[in-house]
Amino acid sequence: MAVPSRRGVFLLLAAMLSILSVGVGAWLFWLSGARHLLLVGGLMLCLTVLTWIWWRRLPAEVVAPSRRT
Amino acid sequence: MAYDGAMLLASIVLFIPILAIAAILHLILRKLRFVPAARAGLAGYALVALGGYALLFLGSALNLLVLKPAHLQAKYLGRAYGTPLALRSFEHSGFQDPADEWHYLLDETDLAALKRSCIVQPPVAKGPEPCVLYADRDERWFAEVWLEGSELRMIDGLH
Repeated sequence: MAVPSRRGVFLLLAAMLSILSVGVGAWLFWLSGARHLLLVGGLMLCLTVLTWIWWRRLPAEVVAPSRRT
Repeated sequence: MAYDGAMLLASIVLFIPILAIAAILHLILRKLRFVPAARAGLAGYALVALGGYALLFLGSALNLLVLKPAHLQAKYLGRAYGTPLALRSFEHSGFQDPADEWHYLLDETDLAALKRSCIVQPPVAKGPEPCVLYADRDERWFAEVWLEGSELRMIDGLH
């Protein structure tokens, strides 16, 4: 299994937080009609996807010499 | 809708602190190479700042939908009969005098157990009146817990 890069770990955490926000936000919307969490979660999810597309085009991160051995 | 308003106010008040904390966190993440340097790192900063808002809203939702009602039920009824999964409706109202109202759908066992401890028993002749389980107030605060049909309803706030 491929080990995700540090950027990948960051984006994975952002995606997990945004999916959690969308899920809890949808529940909150169903309970009370409040949209703030759903909105922030959706915005964050969109930004995570766009950032992933952007960062995929960047040159690969340089691995520190100590980690290469 | 008032809950959206309250969170909008919190977002405005905490705008500068969240951006400042996100900037510090972003610098640390850039140093550790979790986000790229230069222009591409801006997206990382925006994600960290949005993550801060998401955590703020998630914390508030966790408090208002899970922790606070469980604590209040334990205080007013002895134990939490309504669980987060049984929650059917939530309303946050008021601005300077905020109040929260929760509606839970109860199962038959809990409903029967709670019906035995009504403060005001529903009179048979006058039709259905709510079975009040707890009611108290002072000059600033009020709280009431009652049964309506198969729902446990609880309100707690300031007046």
